[in-house]
Amino acid sequence: MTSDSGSSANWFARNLVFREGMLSSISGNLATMGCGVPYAIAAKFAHPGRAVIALVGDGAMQMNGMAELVTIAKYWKKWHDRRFVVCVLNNRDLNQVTWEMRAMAGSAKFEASQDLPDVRFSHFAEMLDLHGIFVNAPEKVGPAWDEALRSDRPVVYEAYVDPDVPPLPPHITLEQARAFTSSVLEGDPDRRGFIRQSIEQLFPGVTKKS
Amino acid sequence: MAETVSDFLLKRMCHWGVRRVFGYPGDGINGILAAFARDTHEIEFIQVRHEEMAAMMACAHAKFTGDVGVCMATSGPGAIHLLNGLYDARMDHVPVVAIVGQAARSAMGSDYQQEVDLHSLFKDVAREYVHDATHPAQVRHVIDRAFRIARAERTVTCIVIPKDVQEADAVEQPPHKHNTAQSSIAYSTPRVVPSTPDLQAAARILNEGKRVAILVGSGARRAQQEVVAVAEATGGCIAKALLGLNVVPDTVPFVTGPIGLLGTKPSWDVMQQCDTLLMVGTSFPYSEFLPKPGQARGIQIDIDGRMLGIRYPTELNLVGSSCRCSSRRKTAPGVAASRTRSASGARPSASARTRPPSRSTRSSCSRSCRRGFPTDAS
Repeated sequence: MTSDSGSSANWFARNLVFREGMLSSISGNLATMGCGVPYAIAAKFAHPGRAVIALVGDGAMQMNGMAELVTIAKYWKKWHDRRFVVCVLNNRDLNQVTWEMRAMAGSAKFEASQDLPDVRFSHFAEMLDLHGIFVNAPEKVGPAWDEALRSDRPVVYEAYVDPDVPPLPPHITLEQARAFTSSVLEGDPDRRGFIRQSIEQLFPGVTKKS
Repeated sequence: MAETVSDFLLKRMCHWGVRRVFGYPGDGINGILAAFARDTHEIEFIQVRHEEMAAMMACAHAKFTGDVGVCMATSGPGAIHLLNGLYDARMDHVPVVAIVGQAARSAMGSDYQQEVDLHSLFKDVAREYVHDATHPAQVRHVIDRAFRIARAERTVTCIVIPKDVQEADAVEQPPHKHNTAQSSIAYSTPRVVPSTPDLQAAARILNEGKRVAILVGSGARRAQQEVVAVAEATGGCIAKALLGLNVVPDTVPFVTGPIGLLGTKPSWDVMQQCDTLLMVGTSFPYSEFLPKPGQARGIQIDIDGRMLGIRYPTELNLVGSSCRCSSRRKTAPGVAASRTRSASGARPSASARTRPPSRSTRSSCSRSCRRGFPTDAS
């Protein structure tokens, strides 16, 4: 398993259950964007008999990942085990920083820097003769993984996901809650979405700390 | 034709165990690429889209195999593109050797096409070793030193080879005389163990702790059994830094998962409540997710003394291989006395978790039995 930097690393760290024997890495101390796909390629060359999965945000795909899909297109036919899935979390947002700005600085989302073009990564994969799967509903998630891991070629599993889920720290301090609240009050363009979404995630921590 | 410096480079790298080089071609490394084309040493050239990704792949190769990763780029733009991936390797302490072309010696210093000051460019990221191979008789020891230093220091080194040197006749064995270096390939990874009194002191601290928190990073990846044994013996919980997520499986009941901004509530609670902190092979940067200074007695183990005592004011800092240090503190059968603890021990209850329900049993284990470490560590 590899993960890119950004909100994808949140879900990688918190939601993946690491089992005995799994290998994983991430850009730890530098935390550079754009490492998820190249790490996965190196992992596949190093361990050709293992399934490799990269968890990458749409920002990192646009930065580095899309280019390195071309490298996968160049080499995959030499791989005897072709289980290789790039899971793109497409939320059209540079989400980690958007949330950091909200939670830490109390700033509303700055759309000029944070919004990303909606790129159809699954179509791009098909252009490269890889397999693309577009997943835009919860009930498709499981069957799409079955399809991806059974594929006869590398897969771009494009999950069309919600940018309004806060990938926030496990505890929330009052300071952060105040900052967050002020970004809401200042009129964040996405405030309706994230209030509706997961505000519950925030407040157990707030009440506990205070 | 006679063997060139480039042919010798590949042969020597092969002797160092290299089987794969991630790179991108360019005018400044044509000599080396030509050697790849006639290579009989079974080194595979993996063509990437951009040199930054070649460096990231070399970094990941090192991370996923434990071997040295190798990347290659042409002079000028190719070399500059490598930098970010090389810093990734440097900052995560994995060995990577970058091989970079340069303008021919006859053109160097003339602001030649694609000539940049590579020493200045790499002097930070490859500060342990960045060197030109400006003479064929120098090539052998420059290669040997770059690989050995990368391994020994777990860092990035860089070999710069001007394009005319790449095509010169190789000198495999420099003459045995003044102004030559007689280098070799051998490198063995040491197993470092702290002194017995220090291990005894560590055992005492752990035995005296009532709520032991253990934080592991990638440096603990060969010490899974030992870390689990320490947790078993102390009734402690194990939290994991991002690079250490695969050190201990999440299916172990007293593993609380990741720590930090991307972490879990149980890891946070463990750190808030512990009276003893053991850090193994981690440079996890965010001190605010560790106990408050003074709250817990701290022990840190790292193979690199420079990384000790910078995140938490630990009272005992041990330089050593994680598995050796930890195993020396394992409880010997029949030695340790069992102590009874109440169920309200160090481990937080499952209700505090913010994890998905499927993982809710992970930190629910507050075991009633606690053993100690033998303080006569032997």
